[in-house]
This record gives sequence, C-alpha cells and structure tokens, in this order.
Amino acid sequence: MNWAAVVLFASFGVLMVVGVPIAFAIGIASALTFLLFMSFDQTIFIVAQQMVSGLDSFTLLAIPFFILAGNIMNRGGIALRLIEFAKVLGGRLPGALAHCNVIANMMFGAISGSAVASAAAVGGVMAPLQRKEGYDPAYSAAVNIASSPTGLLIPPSTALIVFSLITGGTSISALFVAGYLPGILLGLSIMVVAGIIAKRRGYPVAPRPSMAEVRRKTLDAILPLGLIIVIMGGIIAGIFTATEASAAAVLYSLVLALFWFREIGWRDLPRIFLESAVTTTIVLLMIGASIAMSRAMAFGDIPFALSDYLLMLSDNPVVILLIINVALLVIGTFMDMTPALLIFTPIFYPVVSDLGMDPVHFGIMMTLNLSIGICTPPVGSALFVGCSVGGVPIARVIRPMLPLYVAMIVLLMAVTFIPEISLALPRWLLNYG
Amino acid sequence: MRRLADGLLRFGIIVVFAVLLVCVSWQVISRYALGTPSTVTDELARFLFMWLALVGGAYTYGQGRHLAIDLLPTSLSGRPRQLNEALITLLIAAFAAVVMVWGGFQLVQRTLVSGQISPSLQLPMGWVYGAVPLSGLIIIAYAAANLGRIAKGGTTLNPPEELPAPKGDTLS
Repeated sequence: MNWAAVVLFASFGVLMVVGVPIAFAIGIASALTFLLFMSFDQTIFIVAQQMVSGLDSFTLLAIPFFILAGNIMNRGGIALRLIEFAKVLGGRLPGALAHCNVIANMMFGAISGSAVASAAAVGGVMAPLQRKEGYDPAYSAAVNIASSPTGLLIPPSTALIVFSLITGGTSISALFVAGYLPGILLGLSIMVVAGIIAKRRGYPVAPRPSMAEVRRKTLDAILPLGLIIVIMGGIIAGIFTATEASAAAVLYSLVLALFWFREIGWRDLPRIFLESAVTTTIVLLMIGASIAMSRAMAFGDIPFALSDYLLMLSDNPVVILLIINVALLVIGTFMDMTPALLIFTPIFYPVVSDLGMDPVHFGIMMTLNLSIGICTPPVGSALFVGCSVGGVPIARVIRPMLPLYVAMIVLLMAVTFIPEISLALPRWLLNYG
Repeated sequence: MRRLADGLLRFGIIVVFAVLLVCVSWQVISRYALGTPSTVTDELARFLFMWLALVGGAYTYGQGRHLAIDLLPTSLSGRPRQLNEALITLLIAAFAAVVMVWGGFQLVQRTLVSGQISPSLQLPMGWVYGAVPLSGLIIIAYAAANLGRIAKGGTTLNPPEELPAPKGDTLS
C-alpha cells in the first residue's frame, strides 16, 4: 500500500468536493503528503519554495501574452470578421451556418487557443442567426461546443505549453506543429456529423455570395489570419521562441485593433490587461501548486507505484493506453483541462515513457482526450459557456451532443493508436525525433 | 478598505503586465537589432512574472475567480451552505498563513542569509521570493473580509462581478 498516494488523493478529493479552489486544494494536499516524509518546518519551506520556483520560467511567460493577444483580437472585432469569412468558406454545405460555426472556431483557435473564449465569441454571434433560420438551438449549441476545443490543439495552445512545462521541456514548437492535424481532423469530423444531421433535417444551404462580397470578406480576414503566419512561421523557422512569438502576437494584435480596425482605443487597454492578467493568474497559481504536488508525488514514489500497478494489469501497450484513455475521460467529466493536465501528466507520463511513447504524441493524445471532458457534464467549461450563449439548458444539449461525442472518441482512438497523425508534421517541418 | 486594496492591486497588476510586455518585446528586438539578447530584461521579466502570478493570484482570490468545483457548495442552502463556505474560507486562510506566510517567510530569510544574488540585476533573491509571503498576507486579508460577509449571511461564491467574464478554465 502506498500511503503517500492515499493521503494525497484522499485529501485532494475531499477538498475538491467541498469546493476549495483547485489551486489551494493542490497546495494543501501536497503539504499533507510532504508531512509523511519530513518535519513541519521542512514541509512548509519546501511547498513555498516549489510554488515560487515552479513559476520561475521564461517559457511560462507565453501564457499571459497569448491570452492577452486573444482578448485584444476578441474585443477588437476580429471574431466577427473571422465569422464572416467562415460563412464564405462553409456556405454551400447543408446546414451552412453550423459549418461556419465550426470553421470560425478553428480559425479563432488558430489565433487565440481558448475553447471557452471561442465558444463564447463565435457561438454568441452564430446562435441567433441559426435560430432565425429555423435550426434547433440545441443542435446549434452542441456543434458550437464540440468544435470549440479545436483551438486547444491548433496552435498557439496554452494547454500544450503547460504540458511542455510539466514534462520537463518537451519541445513546444514540436507540440504546436503536431497539434495542427488532430485539431483540423477534430473540426472536420464534427462537420461530417453536423452535415449528416443537417441534411436529414433539411437545414438550409446559404445563398451563393456575390464575388464582391467574397473579396471584401476575404480581405477583412487576411490581416487577422496573418497573425498565424507571424506566430507559427516565426516558430517553425526558428526565429522566435514561443514566448517571443507570444509577445509578437500581442504587438501585432494591438496594432491591428488600435490602428486598423479601430474598434478599441487606448482607454480600453487597462481593462483588457487586467482581465487577461486575472485569467492568467488562475492558471499560474495552479501551476505553482502543482509543481509542489509533483515533487510530493515523486517523494512518495506515486508514479512508480501506479506504473507498476498498471503494468501488472497488462503488459500490452494497447490495453494500457486504453486504460489511460478511459481514466482520463472519466477524470475529464468532472475536472477542467488545466488541473487535469497538471495533476495527471506526472502520473501517466512515466508509464507511457516506459512503453516508448513519444512525449509529443502523448501530449496531443492527452489534450484531445481532456478536450472531450470540457464538453461533458457535470463539469465542462465549454459545455457551460456554449449552453449559456446558445440560450439552451444543459439537459437539452446532451442528446444532440451524443453523436458528436462518438465522433470525438473515434478520433481520439485514431490519434492514440496512429502516432503519425501527431508526429508526421513535426517530423517533416522540424525534423523532429 | 477593500475597495482601496482592490484598486491598488488592480493598478499594480496592469502596470506590471505592461512592463512585462515591454521587457519581452525588448528582448526580441535587442537580439535581432543589437545582436545580443539583453540579460537584464530576461531576468526582470522572470521576476516580475513571479510577482504577477502570486500577488495577482491573491487579487484573483479576492474577486472569487479561482477555479473550483462548486457542485456541492451551490447545491446547499441556508445554514449548511454558510458553514461550508466558512470552512472553504478557513482552509484557504490556513494554507495562506502556514505555507505562504510562515513557510514563505522562512524561504525569504534563508535565501537572504545565503546571500544569493541574481546574476544580472544584482538583486538579493530573497526579495524576489518575498512575493510568496506578501501574496499570503493579501489572501488572509481577503479571507477575513469574506468571513465577515459570510457571517452576515452573504455569499462568497458569486461576489458582485466587477469583471464580467465567463467562469471556467482559462486554458480551455
């Protein structure tokens, strides 16, 4: 019996159920675990030290900047222009507006990389339009919710930065490039399911837009989408590190929003800065506490014990990967992505390393898996936001979500067992691995 | 009091964030324009970032914005709800007092005694770590105010939102 694991998980579980904010629950549970191995004075010293040293990283600076860039783009009217452009791209398919929603979520994700922001921004605009054309609001909300995590896989992605940090420096550029294909496949599989349902229900195809309209909307979207080239081009070519690219993204979006679209002014900036800082610190405090927790786990040999246990159940890699995926799906239903990544990566990573799995492949698998979790009740941030902007109760969205969950899980299996889906692009573009 | 503290922290957060942006931008420019990346801005950015994370995290607690699983707290009502919220607040305050203030203070003291100095800014590292006990103190102050609110029958779960934003995981 591994007592460290019992203390850690029991105390963490109780604290979480009671409703203690996760960052503090992690901190308290780690401190209690350390107490098994050292004196009180040593314990409080080491937890305080780990909290602050976990945050001493130049790489982590990319997180506030990518969040800030996304917020500036969002307030600056960029989301609307992307949606207009998405209408041009997806308009001729059955259930046109649903496809626009998916495409807009993918483009939004390529710029900001937050599923919640994207579900709110894109869904908020698309829901009333779809309702007017006779779409079932529950269907529209479900499509919006399920496609919003595409942005977590399509770079820039703060989730992948966090993964890189906890695995001790898995290449961020490789993770970013690896996310493209799975992210796009996720969007496409949602579009296939949404299209089949739309065809059956006879949802309308949009009228063919005029050439002038196509030209204008495309031109409007070119500058926002140019950010992708700045960020990813810079990273792939080796000009920027992720942190530098994130600062470049902020400057690019500031210039665009302040001087080109002019939908925000200088006076709006303090508020946007503050909001971005607050959302960032929610994540950062959790990161600091989790660094302490992963040290506590290492002290208690928890990953080792669990890995032994899993390997005892089976030494077949396929079975182990299935077990890990099922465990993560269950965890994802009640836990948000960041804490789940922070807590369970240090546990499962050593196991899959033993199996010889590539860290980039594992990171993509984990992110995709937990992306399903943020769309499921009882706790799912994309689900909550999608329902609230769509004006639909959660209970009604579950039914139209079911076929979409199936599509997501099929893709998850493909990503888990076909490493090339994640690794082909980084190998080709970055000579990874 | 609370308003003044909120206002001061807000101002500090915005300024530090803006300075951070300038630091990292300068970092990129100095590397390409001058050929040598500035080590001063690299260090300054990292230190300010730690302060932003910890002190900003305390402010975020004051705004009731930290991510929690609130299925149980929101399903309770009346007296049990009040007690549950008081328990949450006390646990947070205890962690802040014991680990962040007491443990953090020891961290600061021992680092100052060891004489560790940051390589390019020549700052004693003990001061840099001062963000931990400071953050702990701010959290305790907010927790005390929250306890007062709970005792009067108020709630801390959904405080008057100053910043209308979707609650939820900010990374996802």
